[in-house]
Amino acid sequence: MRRLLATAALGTIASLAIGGFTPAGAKTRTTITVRSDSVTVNGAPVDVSVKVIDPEGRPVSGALLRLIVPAEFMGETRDEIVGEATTNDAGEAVLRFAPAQIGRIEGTVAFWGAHGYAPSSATVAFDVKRPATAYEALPVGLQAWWARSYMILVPVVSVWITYVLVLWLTVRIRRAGDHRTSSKKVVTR
Amino acid sequence: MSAQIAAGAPDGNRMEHLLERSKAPVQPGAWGIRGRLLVASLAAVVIWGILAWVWQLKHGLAVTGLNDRVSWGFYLTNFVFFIGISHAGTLVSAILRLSHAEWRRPITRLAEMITVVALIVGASMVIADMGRPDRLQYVFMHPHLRSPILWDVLSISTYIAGSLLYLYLPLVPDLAILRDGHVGGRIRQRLYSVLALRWHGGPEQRRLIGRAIGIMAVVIVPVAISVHTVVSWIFGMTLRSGWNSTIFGPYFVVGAIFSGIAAIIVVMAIFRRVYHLEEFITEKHFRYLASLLLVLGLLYAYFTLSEYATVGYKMQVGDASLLSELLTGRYAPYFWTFTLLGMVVPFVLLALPRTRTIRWIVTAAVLVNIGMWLKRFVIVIPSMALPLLPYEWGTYRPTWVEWSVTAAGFAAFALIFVVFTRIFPVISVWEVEEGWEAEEGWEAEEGWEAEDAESFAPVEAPLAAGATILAEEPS
Amino acid sequence: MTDKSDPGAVLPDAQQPDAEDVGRRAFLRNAFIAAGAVTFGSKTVAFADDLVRGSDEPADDVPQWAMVIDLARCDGCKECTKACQETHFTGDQEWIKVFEVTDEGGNIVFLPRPCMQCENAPCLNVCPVGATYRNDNGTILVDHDRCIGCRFCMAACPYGARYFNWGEPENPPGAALARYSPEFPVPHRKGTVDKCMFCAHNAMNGKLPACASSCPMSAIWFGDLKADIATNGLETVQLSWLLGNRNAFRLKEELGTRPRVWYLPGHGEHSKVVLPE
Repeated sequence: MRRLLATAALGTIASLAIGGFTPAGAKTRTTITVRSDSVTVNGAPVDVSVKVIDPEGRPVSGALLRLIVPAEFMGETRDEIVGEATTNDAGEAVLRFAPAQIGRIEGTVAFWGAHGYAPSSATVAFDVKRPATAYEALPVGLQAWWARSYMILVPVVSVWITYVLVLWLTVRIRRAGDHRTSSKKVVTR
Repeated sequence: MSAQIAAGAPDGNRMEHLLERSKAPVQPGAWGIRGRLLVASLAAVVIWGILAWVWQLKHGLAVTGLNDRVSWGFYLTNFVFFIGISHAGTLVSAILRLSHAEWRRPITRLAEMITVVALIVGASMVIADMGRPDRLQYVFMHPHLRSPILWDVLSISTYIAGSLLYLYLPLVPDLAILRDGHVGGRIRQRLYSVLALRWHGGPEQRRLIGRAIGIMAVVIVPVAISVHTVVSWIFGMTLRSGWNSTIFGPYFVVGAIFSGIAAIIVVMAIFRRVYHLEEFITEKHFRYLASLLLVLGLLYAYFTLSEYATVGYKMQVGDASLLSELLTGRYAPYFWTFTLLGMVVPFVLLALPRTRTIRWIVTAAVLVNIGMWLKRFVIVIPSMALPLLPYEWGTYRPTWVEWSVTAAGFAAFALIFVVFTRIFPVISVWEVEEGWEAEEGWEAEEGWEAEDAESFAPVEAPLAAGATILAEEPS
Repeated sequence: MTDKSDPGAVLPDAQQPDAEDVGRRAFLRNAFIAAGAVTFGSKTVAFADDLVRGSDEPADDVPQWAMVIDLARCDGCKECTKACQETHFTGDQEWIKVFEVTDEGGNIVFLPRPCMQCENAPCLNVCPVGATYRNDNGTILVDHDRCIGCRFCMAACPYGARYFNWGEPENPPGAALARYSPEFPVPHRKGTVDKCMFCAHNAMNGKLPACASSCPMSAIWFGDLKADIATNGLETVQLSWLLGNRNAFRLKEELGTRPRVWYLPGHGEHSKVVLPE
């Protein structure tokens, strides 16, 4: 939980700024209940319904909740925030999660405490059969074979073949007999 | 020799003059003091430019005015300009040849020379622009065919090879004249004799060369068009405002032919004067080219209008700021100089009957060339300086290095050209002669007229003609 | 994360043999695919484009790096730029450059701009020698042994994210010791193009990019599109959730470059909150 508190510090600055601080000793304890603690994901985002109450069972409204799952990234296991919601007047909130990986994910719904309430958390497990979001590489440029850039070699090569034909003609000019004609033109000497 | 000429030529006197005039510049000792001074000063400018480039090699492109925002500048402008000029040869020589325009005959050689020289200078401008010219060979070792630069490399090298071939083929009979006239020293004689391909002018040789020239005239046109199209795609294939345009291919091709014709007029005027070719290159040639120049110019103006009008109407954010800088902002002087000096004034000069004299036509052509250089500048630099994200506008102030290399480019163009004309005749003697013959209804020798006609058959069926070349039984 | 004060902490990263192996493996694989394209020409799926170094489509099993920049947290201190310059010895090049924009409410928005590592990268297409290429992680790298300095990529980049070594780059003594690899392009070379490469040297060692780890507001998230996760060094979140929840946007989305850098809208308002200790 300490980790969670540390990592959440920056994200909650907005609410902190609004809510202000209450001395730690005066905080009211809270409890988070998750409607269903095991969710199956099959290619679509899932909603996790949560309720936050105080020891007297009164709903806690305006509580910023986060759904956190453990994740391996850049050589470290990290607490990944995958969803965020604020409770309504009934103390209820819906956290939407669109997992990108297949497998079982043990998530935590966490409340950091604010407005005089103490932090609390609850667990929820996700069984991901098909990821709800996936990165897809989009194609770059035209994909047809005739639009490939080496096709430019076709006209270039055909022009050069013509050059070779013309060069061959010059060879034939050179070979075109030594016989002097009776031409009277100047250049036909 | 002169006796034979007099006997054989349709107009002995005229032919003699032609031979004399076309051979005069290639005679040893024909340089003269002024010629030598000119060549020396051109060479000095070229050497100075090369030194500036060596300086740039040593200290990197930091010695230029280029920066991370405006990373292309004078060199790219020059590149586009010279590649544009190179279209002169194709148009005048190939298109007029294919359309049997008789008046082309005295000016085809000059046009073809412009193509080759402009391509050489234009390509070297790219090398001046490179940060690592020592890695030039990587373009061939690791070609990435998806890059428009590779398309440029392919099409420009194809164009250089093709235009060299196209310059060379009509030279063969003229080289034979120089060979037989014993012009030049031993080295030049050897050169002429090798290049003249044992030319003796027999019907078979005439038929073959006619066919070769016909094929090349057909092939060189699409190659030339492809060259300026892919040059434009260096800009058109990017997402920058001002470059991100679908009409850039044809826009550049028209601009290239426009400036190319202007270049021919200027070069023609200079060599007509210096080599005393007034008899052969007449006012008629200037007037015909002036009409072509006017037509292409109006076409270019039309393209310019459609380019700016369509983006100006929609005023997308980048286009809007680009356009306002171009029309009223910091690039307005260049843009309006181009519009006035490069289009409006030349159009008036070319259109009014009173100013359709050689002097004014040449003036118009010079203005067009200046205007078209500015136009290329206005295409390249503002789109680079344009803020892509909330930046300030980029700035570009070319340094002495860029000015020197640019000057060297133009000097090299002139120098290579002058040296060329001192080795090879500037007028295609045999073609002019052929023209006179046709003009005077001179009766052909047996089979010659028919074969002459056949030699241009590729116009109608280029592929068929090409295919039959090898199929034919060599004699 | 990277200790900026100690250049030794950076240099060994560059000397990892993996760096070269990764690039070479990708190249070999693509050479193989290109050859395959000739043989099985009719199957368009099998086509990797001609002679392209690196991959068009990212590999399946490796992270696909992405970055998310929270504009609500960025206060424009430019620590990211400084850290980047110190890590890569870039001199005055700002591989991550912080722009100031005024929004409709008159607030100043600070907009840090790294290389966008576009999926449809204009710079990658136009390179005539394939010096710029995409590695398996979808990061666009420059091979400075290959770059010919034509600067076409700079002209093509719609974000102005590329920089050129116009003169002889100032490689400080620390930089001279580094062994060059495209993943850690130090020492820099005259006449070649440089740019942000998501600290590929750090990423392959499980470290955050220098800009992300140095940001005092933790405004820069670095993540993996494949695993759908991102971290700013303090918190870790599901990437797609972060992007969707905070109305993330990309720069010049309409160009179709598909950047791998997202922005969370805001104008530094969260940066003004003082954190409790």
